[in-house]
Amino acid sequence: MRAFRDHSLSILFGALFVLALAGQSVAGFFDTNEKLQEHGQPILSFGTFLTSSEFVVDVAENWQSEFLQFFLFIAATIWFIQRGSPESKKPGDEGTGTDEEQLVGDHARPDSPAWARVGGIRQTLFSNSLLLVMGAVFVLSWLAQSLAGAVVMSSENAEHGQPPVTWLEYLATPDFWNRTLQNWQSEFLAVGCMIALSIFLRQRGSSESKPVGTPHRTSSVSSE
Amino acid sequence: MPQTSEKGHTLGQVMVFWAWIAVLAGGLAYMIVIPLIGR
Repeated sequence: MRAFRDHSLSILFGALFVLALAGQSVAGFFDTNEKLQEHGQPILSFGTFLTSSEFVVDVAENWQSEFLQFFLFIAATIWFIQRGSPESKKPGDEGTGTDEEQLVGDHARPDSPAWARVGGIRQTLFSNSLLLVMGAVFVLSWLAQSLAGAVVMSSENAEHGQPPVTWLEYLATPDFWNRTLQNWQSEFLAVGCMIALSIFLRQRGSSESKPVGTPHRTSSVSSE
Repeated sequence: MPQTSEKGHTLGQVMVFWAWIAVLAGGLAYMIVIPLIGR
């Protein structure tokens, strides 16, 4: 029970992810078959739909935008400030910090991670590992969206007697950029609102909020 | 108290971390392979 409580946040979001993905697969399955029936075409089995680019392109376009959001948020908060937001460091703290502040190299503690204690490429990699992984997932899921989108568009073209599109041709289509930018705009809006609204609004008990009585001018409490 | 290794993390933390990495790796591989095989 203690193990569950210690990791309940990860478990909650893991369960929500599985439920939402399952719901999307079922809804997408019925939606796709409705459209196939309207065009007088044979319907797909659930297994065929799950292993189709039609399903993949819808999943991937949301993955890429979420990971872009966090990639940019992590990167931007190194150098950019919003005074009074708990999502931001306080003015004057811009930058990557000193070795002493970051507990690396000679300033590492005995219980610091091994790659924080060593120097060279390993410390550089570890110091940027969160950004590197989020960026890699963004790039790969955007690649997946583009590959699957090209297959879907080629399939639709075939129904209308038109030639298939290559991957490079698909990258220049309105469909690719419409799928991409409709997700990006909502991510940027949500992140911007989170940064700005948390200056003056509070949620008692949440790590995403300043403590209720903290002055509006105060940014990240831990950096004060 | 949870079992904490000399490295400063618990077995539960390791399991949580690698479970999420597995979800990402599996999901990305799936989403790249499906269109590459023309499905």
